[in-house]
Amino acid sequence: MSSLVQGLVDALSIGSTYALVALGVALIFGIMRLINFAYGEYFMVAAYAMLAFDQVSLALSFLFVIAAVVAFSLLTERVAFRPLRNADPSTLMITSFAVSYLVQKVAIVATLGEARTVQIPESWLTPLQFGGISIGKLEIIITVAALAMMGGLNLLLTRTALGIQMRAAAQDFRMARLLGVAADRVIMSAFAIAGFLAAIGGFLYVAKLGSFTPAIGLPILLAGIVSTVIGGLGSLKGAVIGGYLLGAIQVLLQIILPSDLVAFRDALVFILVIVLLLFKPTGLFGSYVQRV
Amino acid sequence: MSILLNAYLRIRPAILPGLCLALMVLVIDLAGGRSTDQTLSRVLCLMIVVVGTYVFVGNSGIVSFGQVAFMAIGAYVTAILTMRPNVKKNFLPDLPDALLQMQLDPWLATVIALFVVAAVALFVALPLMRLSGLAAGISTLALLAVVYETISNASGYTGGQQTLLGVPKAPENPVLLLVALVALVAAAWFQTSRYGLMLRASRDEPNAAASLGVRTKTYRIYAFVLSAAIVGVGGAFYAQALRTVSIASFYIDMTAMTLAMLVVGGMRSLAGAVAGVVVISLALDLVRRLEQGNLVSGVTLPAGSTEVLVGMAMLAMLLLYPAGLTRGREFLPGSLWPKGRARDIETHREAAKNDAV
Repeated sequence: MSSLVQGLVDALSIGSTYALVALGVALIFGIMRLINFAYGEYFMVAAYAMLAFDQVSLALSFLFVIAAVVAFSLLTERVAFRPLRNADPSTLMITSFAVSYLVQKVAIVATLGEARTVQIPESWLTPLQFGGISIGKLEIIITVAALAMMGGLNLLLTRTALGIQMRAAAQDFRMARLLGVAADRVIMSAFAIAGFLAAIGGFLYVAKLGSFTPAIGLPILLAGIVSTVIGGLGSLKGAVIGGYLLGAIQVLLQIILPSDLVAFRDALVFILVIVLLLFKPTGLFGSYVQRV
Repeated sequence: MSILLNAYLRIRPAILPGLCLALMVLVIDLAGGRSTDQTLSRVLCLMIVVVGTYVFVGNSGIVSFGQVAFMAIGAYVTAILTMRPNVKKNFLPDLPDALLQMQLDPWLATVIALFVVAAVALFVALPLMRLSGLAAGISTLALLAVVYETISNASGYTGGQQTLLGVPKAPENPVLLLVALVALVAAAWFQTSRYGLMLRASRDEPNAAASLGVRTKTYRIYAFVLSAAIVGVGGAFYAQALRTVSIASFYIDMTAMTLAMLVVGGMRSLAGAVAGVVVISLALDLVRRLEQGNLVSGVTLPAGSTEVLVGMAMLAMLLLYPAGLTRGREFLPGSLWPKGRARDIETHREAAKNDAV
């Protein structure tokens, strides 16, 4: 019973992290058809930003991480993606790959590739007790934070003028512009929101890991894009469900696989995803149908 | 006569790039010492890999981040088949006895590697190419991760994260050059074949091509398998050129390097693939010497500068000349810069731009 609950909580917290990443990827993809491979690096920036006010003040550290990642997100948009706004999606994709690679390598040169550690409050690590079942507090914080962010994003997209403009732009960018939606504003908002999601997600993810290297972004990015592919490119709902599904599959495999096969867990997950795509090439909720 | 003419027309895109490459390689090979010799063999293997990657990326227009996975498979198959049995017992204890005892001629091993890689690629391509172009492209990154994870965790069969030693030495550089030229000719042959032409049509005008009966997904599979086979051969020779195999060298860094080469040269033409390998290799060699600090006294670049350079070259090129140095044009004998084709591309891009605004 205890391990079942713990497994469920693990799946929820890992799934929440993946869902946040997938949301960020899907949001930017929806608006400018960019698969942002640099999104993993937003998490890396979050990790290094945590070092600035480490052990000084948690609140200050939190605010600084948000500011740093949102600024970095807007910077990548301005420098790398805006000049290519009219380029085809594969040029944009490879550009984001180049940004990701460059930023990561600069971080390696700057830090010599060494691991860094962050301190998080002791009280976050003490598990909660529910009648003999102990549940990690950080896992609950991650899950609740992610759900709150999804709720907030949903409100933003459905209830505010900016959100409605963003959805219009995602559906038909040209038509939206003709109706007076400011392209720069919508795209920059998408990057700012994606950066905000990465800041929160990254802060909690790094808090859970405790230490990191410049290579922290790749596994996160892979999980994020696999989630979006499972859910269907271009669907925000699909991205969230894909994230939770991926988390659940990973935790399930971790539990049921014999110990000598656990090392192959991620390879197996990817193979499962390919099998899923065999039956449903557009993903579970694929709305975006590319020409051919 | 018409057969000869036909053959000439089919391999035309490979002729001038191949001649330039051959000339450069032979000059460097004659002039250079031992260390240049090794660098040159590595570059020639990369040339095979990049030309192989081009066969899929250039013709289909889908950016693949996964071709390096086939390079890894080619390298590991070669290593497993050619290492001495007593060395294998140490590194790869879980291999079945027949494989443990086997020690094949490197050439035979390379041919087997080619077929193994092609079979794996076909198996992978069947589901992947059902996806839309973009989703297929990003799924290839997952493919790279699968192969990396599997090889680095199956220690009993592959040595895991260890470096495998004792792969037999690669053929001399002129022989490697010949192999690279064969790869170039194969790439040219495919891109001028009816499948290649139809695939390129589907790349430029997906709807028009589909309406004319082009079976885009089928031809993408053909291109993917051929591409993987060439890349696998490149990997097989890469293992022989380095005489060692380690999974760490077949991941993101190698993917970024081969893609940077394609991007810098121009990923839509064979001439671009060749030009990219040459330009990036020369630049990297320069930076590597600066890194070691023995080129200009007093100037030593920090370790890792080569990777930063690769990233910067790729990004700068994408932002300033997204079509690459060759701007997607082939380097054809008879008409050095074929104006007609270039103009077509320009008008096409203008039209696309107007459409987008």
